[in-house]
Amino acid sequence: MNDFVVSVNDKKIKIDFSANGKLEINNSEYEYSLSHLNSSSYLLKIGNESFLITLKSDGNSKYFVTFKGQVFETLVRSALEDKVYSLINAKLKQRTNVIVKAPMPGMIIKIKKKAGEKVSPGESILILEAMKMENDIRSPVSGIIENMKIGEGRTVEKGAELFIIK
Amino acid sequence: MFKKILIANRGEIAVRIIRACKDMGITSAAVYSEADRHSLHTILADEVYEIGEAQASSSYLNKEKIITLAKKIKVQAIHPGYGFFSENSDFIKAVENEGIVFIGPSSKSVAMMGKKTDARTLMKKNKVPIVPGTTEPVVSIEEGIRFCKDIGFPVLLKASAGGGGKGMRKVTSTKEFDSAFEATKREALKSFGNDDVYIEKYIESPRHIEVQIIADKHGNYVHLYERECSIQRRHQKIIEEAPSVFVDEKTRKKITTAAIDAAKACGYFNAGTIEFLMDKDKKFYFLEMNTRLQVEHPVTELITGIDLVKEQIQIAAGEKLSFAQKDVTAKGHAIESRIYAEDSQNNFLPSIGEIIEYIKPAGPGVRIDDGFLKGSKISLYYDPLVSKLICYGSNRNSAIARMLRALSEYHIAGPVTNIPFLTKIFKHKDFVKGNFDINFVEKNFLKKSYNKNEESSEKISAIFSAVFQKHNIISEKKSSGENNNASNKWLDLLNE
Repeated sequence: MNDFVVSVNDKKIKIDFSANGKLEINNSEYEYSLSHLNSSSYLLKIGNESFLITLKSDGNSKYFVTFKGQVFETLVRSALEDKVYSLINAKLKQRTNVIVKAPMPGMIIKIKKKAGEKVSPGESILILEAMKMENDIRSPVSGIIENMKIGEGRTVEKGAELFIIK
Repeated sequence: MFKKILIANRGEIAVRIIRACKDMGITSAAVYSEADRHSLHTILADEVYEIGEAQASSSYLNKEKIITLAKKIKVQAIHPGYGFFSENSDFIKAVENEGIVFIGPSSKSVAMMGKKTDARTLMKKNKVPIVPGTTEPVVSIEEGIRFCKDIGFPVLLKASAGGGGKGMRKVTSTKEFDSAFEATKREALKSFGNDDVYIEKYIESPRHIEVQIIADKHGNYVHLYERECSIQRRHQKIIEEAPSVFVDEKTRKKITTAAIDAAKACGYFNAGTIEFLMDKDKKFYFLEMNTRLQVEHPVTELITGIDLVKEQIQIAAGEKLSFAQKDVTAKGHAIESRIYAEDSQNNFLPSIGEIIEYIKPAGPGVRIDDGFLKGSKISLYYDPLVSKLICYGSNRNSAIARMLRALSEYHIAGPVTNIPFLTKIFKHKDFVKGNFDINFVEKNFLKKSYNKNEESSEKISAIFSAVFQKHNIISEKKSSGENNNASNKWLDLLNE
């Protein structure tokens, strides 16, 4: 398997490794080399340019790539894997529930909407406090709140499910 | 002079104060919470003491613990840094009562300037111009709405005990008033322990200009020019510079005089900052006085050559200012970027976690005030400021060029930082021209989708990921033979 598809920022970039030790993107060929600097950082050379890159892996297949002050979340699949996942995703898209998760750890200090209430996009549902700042958690879509999973005064971890909008 | 100073703070400002102590031959004693064991200040200080759990109320904001420690280890003075106890007159009084010197103003001056409503009254009496609004806290929603209708929307609701941009909300109509009022009160109570809120007329498109002053205990007052701090997000400064491109000589004379008048009105000694809003016609209004060292003090240090922390310590020890107004000159231009662990593309939400790589910029005109190391954690208990990057140049353009160079060299991995966001600001044509006000960030970066990453960067990160994965697969195969994890995952998904 020498063809990879990398997902980054909703884009897919196809990268082919050729037999001559080069890689190819969009019909352009590049020489490359990767050198391990320390436990988490690497030096990547593409053509004559050299980049310092730090990698954080989530243990699964996702990478968090820090480079020039930016962090890119990437997902690498072989061309074959990518095809299979695309098919699966098309199937899953039929589900319509939107799960809203905590964007960061913090404490729920106020819940403004109850389960069963109708909300429109951008409407504030609850207030999550972190680092002394009150953050409005808003509905990303219009729909009906279902299953408010948390209560006021509760602390939540990043990524905890807060509520579902149907 | 003092022999030993306790630093009742953390992060970059604790480090800054430790460095001043070392420069002066004073023993520095630092405190840290459980969450900060791996922070830089615990390594640089001469003595370090753990004082409690991560929550500030159990550690950095625990008056008894800090004062008990100060007595036990026999310090002559306490430096509060900024935030925490720096503007808490009860703490200052308690320190004074123990016969320990507080490196800052008297508790009386702090109390006079601490409540914004009292400060506004005092300024009005001393002919320092203030923003139109109430000089008393608002007692009810009805009263508040009535007042807003009198002076006209939009207005700003502000915590009387507030500062640092927290506890502040813009209200544009009667409809929004009550929920904004309640939210401001809640935030004020939580952040400042006092839920008094007052109303100010919202000044359209002002600049935030502040004046650094310094005064000793012998009645000598000197200003150290202005700073321009209009580049803010969530009402908090992210870029500060000195001098301001907007302030001409005539205005400079007027505003620095007003600042000295404000400081004299509260019998001030120590370094202090008088913040003003300045409108398009260069009319300015007193906003508040910060009776402490400011986060952005380094830009003033770079243009004047004065070490503000050292001066603070000397003043606290009873020494006279070593310079007069006529000795102070400003040279060149300095800009500070606050490097925050936050996601600029997601409403500036703080980003926490371990710093897994940390490589600092250096070179001519670059100064970094930071408090972390590779391996330190940005925790959710404190402000997510990672460091301050300060660049100096003979003029503004050269300072901006150095800032862009330094930002491109700064490599921080783990938490997300605002480095790409700052870079975009420094490249913005209106910023470069000096053509901006406090709404600059909101106007230029929040409404449009500025946050498109450069395509070339996406490509590099994709190439890296693919190359890394390829190498990884090769080494996995070498060590454990073929594995069919991937195909198992597909089956799991299909069965879902």
